[in-house]
Amino acid sequence: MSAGDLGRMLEGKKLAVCVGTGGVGKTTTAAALALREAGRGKKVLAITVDPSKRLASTLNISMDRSEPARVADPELAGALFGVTVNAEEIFDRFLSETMRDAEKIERLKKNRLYNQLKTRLSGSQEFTSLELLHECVQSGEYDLVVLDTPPAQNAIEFLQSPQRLHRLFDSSVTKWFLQTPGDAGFLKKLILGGGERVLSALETLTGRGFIAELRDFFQLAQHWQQELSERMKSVHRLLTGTETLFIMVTAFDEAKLDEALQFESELKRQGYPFDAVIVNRLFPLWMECGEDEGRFSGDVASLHARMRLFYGERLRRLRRFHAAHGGKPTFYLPEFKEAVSELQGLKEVAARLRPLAPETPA
Amino acid sequence: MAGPLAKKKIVLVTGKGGVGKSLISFGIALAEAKKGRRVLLVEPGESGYFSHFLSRPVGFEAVAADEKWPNLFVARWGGNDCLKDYVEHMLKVRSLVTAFFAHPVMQAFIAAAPALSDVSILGKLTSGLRNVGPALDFDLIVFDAYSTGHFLAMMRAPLGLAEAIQMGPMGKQSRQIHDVLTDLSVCAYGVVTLPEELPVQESEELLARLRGEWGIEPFVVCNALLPETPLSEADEQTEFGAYLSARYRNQRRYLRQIEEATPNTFQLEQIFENDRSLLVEEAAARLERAWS
Repeated sequence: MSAGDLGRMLEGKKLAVCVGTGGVGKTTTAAALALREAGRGKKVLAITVDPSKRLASTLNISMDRSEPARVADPELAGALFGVTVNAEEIFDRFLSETMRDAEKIERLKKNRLYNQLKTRLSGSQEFTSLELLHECVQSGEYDLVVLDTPPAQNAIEFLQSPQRLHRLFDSSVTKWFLQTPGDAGFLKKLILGGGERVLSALETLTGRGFIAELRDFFQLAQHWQQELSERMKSVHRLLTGTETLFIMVTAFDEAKLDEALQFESELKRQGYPFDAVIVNRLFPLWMECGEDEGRFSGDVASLHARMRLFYGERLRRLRRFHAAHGGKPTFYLPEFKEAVSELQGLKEVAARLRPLAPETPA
Repeated sequence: MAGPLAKKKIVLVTGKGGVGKSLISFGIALAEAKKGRRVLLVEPGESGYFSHFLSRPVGFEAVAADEKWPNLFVARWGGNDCLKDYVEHMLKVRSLVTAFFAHPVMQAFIAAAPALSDVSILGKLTSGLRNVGPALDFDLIVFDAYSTGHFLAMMRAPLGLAEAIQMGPMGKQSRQIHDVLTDLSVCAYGVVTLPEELPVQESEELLARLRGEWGIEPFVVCNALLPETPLSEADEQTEFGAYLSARYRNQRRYLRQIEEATPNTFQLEQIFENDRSLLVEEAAARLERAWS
């Protein structure tokens, strides 16, 4: 039995979002799921973030261009496409769509703050992933999109990045940068203190030149505010819709599981449908073989015993944890002998995905 | 005998995601604390792994990690908290600071100014050595840094910020932060890796960057090694035997590769212990043995 239940969970879904911290195997797992669904006849797009060179090559992903390309595999009943997020390209694309004025676009591209911002503004890598997601889902081309997310420390931040970006350029903020001396509003502000005092405190800390650049940036940025607002609503609708499935990928580590729990309640609170957990690298494959200690020579036998005890305890702890916390659909994957990056390996990953059976009562 | 941390005041630990950075950071901190040094273990950012690890709240103010480990303290430094700390210190009018921070202009500035959050955290980390801000009364700070990519971005942030904000105290202090971080008489850098292809590759690239950009020579901890046990022919026929064989092969190859990249490589065997407390105690003991 392979990922039967997860397969059923994916029926009728247009989007599967894989969240989780870094180093848990999220990208590989997302790719494996995408491949599996493509094998079942669907036209699937895997949106990856920072794939390894080998995986990128397997999925026919170009690191320089954010254009989906088809993965050649004659065995597939459906079709698999791969793409990665090239933040700069996507941000530029977004810019030219929303700011039609060529002169303003030029000014913006020369702005030092914008250049720093493009790749490092908290939210810009996340924003561009969601922007790419929006483009791909909007096209209506795919039966299913599997979204691999940036390994955010806190995946909630990822989901709220368009919101944060939007709030940044909200009129309540930009107005402070748009007022010019002599304006009645400006004088009123000066009398009431507040924004102007803050700006002048900032000038003390940063120097005059920076504030001028900041002002210029905000003046230009207001042009994308409307478009950003529309995007935000659209993406939020998509992420919280019934055609979306959220999957959390995690490693076995009790602290990480606790973290996952906290994350889950936060997601629920924000209205995101959190549906399944995949615990990766739970134990090595040989554990499933049930080989007896008697088969091994001296030291090998004791190593085997020690490791079996360790991994067996892990599985027990996972079951206990799962039972204690409402039993969300949980699946697990074993640890494979070698890192997975080829198509065959990805197929094996999908085939080895198991649902966590409930703990048998004593 | 002195390990890589002798006389250092700050050690930053990084590596590829999932290699065991947090465990090793904890082990390092505990090993030093057991020697009688007053140690602070810090994690940056908003997400608190150590809270879950210790099953107790860990926030901005340092707290004792556990009563059985005197001298070991732990904290989580979020970017916003560190910036507030800094602003309070710089503007000196405490009562205004909260309102100042809540103001949309300030929020916009925080979001817009490049890597401000990261620089604030590094500012806090180096504040003791720079004599800026509230006192940091510790003999050693172990900084469980972000994984490689974000870590590098963080290291570049002070000069990046200084470039954007050339005049004014913020620019000057950013440069000072950079100077302390690149002062190897007080700062040590540790890279954690696994004896596997991708982690070792990433570590090699990281070493090249640290050396090339800042002249930093880190020590490496190669984690999760298996003790080599001779396999009989019958053993090799089993699934477990095949697994061991493959693992030993990889281990030998990639350990050699990382040792070629730097002689400052310490080896740590995989610890088959599920209990968290016992796990870190064992990690601390083994690290101490590794560099004695």
